Amino acid sequence: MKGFRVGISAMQYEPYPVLVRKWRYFEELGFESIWHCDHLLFTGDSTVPLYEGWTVLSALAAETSRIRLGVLVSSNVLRHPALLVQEAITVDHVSGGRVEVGVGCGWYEEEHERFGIPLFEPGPRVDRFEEAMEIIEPLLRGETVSYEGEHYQLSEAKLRPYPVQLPRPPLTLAAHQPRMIRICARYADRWNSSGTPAEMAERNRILDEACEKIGRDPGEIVRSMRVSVPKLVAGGFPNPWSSVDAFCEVAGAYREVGVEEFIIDQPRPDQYHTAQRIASEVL
Amino acid sequence: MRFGLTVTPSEPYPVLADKWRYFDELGFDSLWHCDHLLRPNRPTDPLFEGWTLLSALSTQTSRIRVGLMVASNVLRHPALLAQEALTVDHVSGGRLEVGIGCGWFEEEHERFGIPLYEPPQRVDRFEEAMEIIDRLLRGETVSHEGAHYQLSDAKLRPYPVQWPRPPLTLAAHRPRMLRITARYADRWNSSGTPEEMGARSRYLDEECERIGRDPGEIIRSFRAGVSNLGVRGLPDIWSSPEAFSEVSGVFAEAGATELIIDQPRPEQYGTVERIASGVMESLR
Repeated sequence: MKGFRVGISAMQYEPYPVLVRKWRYFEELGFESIWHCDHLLFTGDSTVPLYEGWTVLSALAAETSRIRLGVLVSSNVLRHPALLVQEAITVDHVSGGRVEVGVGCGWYEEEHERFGIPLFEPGPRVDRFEEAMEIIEPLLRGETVSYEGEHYQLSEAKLRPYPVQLPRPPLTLAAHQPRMIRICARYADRWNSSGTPAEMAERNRILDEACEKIGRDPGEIVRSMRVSVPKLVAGGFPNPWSSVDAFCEVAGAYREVGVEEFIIDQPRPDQYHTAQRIASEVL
Repeated sequence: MRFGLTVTPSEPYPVLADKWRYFDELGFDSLWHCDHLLRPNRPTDPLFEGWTLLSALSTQTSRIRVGLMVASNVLRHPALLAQEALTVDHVSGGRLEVGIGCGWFEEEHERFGIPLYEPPQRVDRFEEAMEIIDRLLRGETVSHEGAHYQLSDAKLRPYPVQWPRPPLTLAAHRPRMLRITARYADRWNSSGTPEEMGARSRYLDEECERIGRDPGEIIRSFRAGVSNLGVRGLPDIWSSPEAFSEVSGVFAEAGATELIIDQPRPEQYGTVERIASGVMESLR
């Protein structure tokens, strides 16, 4: 599986000392990146504990040394884009240049209803996201931004310090529908989505076309898939953590449709032995 | 008397981490930094984001209490603030102080296009936010139909490490904010001349008595900004143990039970070590 990238998705619902041990373990095994989510409520069960995404990311950055790290993805409707950028620059410094900046337009209705934070209808939500990306990208580079949008207005605004990673930390955009994928073509260093091989193939094609249309080299954007193990298994695939062969079978199937990276649900502790083998034989 | 330090988050992260570890070892009670997109008075300086930096620095310390002095209520939704606070309470093993104020820095809001609101509405928002934050921090399920915030069966998990919730520090300088402080604060923080501080502290006493709260429950925390002390005819607090003792005495007489002091300059560290192991101990 030469050239195939593997990151771990480890949600922040365990006690902090357990998270630290897990992050260090996955770092030692040699996985390239580790990610968690950005929600006020754990999706699916609001009684599950969940730390705040950027704050716990910053602490875990201070407790690790090599692995790249990010929020997959940070919701644009939970905070102002400038605050998100300031958090990203901070974690870039804390981690010594290991932050990946993941951003999405937001989607979790129940969270917004319960906490009274506007989610907006899908159309205006993507409008906001598009404007936010126009702000986030230059602010992350340390540029001075003046912007007269419908949703955001900035006037000679800039953030300091400059990031550690120059010209800016890489941007990961989560996008599943054509309009979001077109925004991806403009701003993303990594495109992240999740679906069946057929769905991923179709979205990959839309991204290629969107890149060509705006004159961007489609090869510049890493094609990354968020792998939910239960969804894979429900779709007839073996559990990738069950054996080296199973992992290669699943990765191979997605590689054929252009996927270059898995960001996959962390293994269960009883699968760590296999995860070690996968890390040493496949990565 | 307690003694805390403020360290502006404008230096490179490794330098900040060294300083925090050093001040932790010297025995100060608490360490704080600000919450701004731009550094007030020096807007071209670097400034890290308050909560994410606090979370990282709390991993570099082991004993000292940590907080923002203060988080601005107009930079993020109260629920996000409460979730950040719960997170840092866990990361720090229960050493978090939750500092909050209503927001004030106009230039920051103008440049970034984040509404600051006129003073009365800003305080209205703050009052509603405190009602929500106090309950969310306790792990309660909150329904709230306010003019500014609406929550419906909302709760955050995990519960905090500190029970029933991490202590709340409110920055308040005027009567209406002081009345809100009387209701919610474990620590009241302000800055001014000893005379101004004395008057505000007495107002807070009266307000506590009016609502039936023991005024002695609230820590009286005064900012001792090195740059402001000279204006008030007081010496630089870090210049000698005697100066430390004199400034502390003046503020203690005005009602302070805690001083939050601008960090010393590196060339003063020798004196600071003498202060920390000597006069600071005797003033506690």
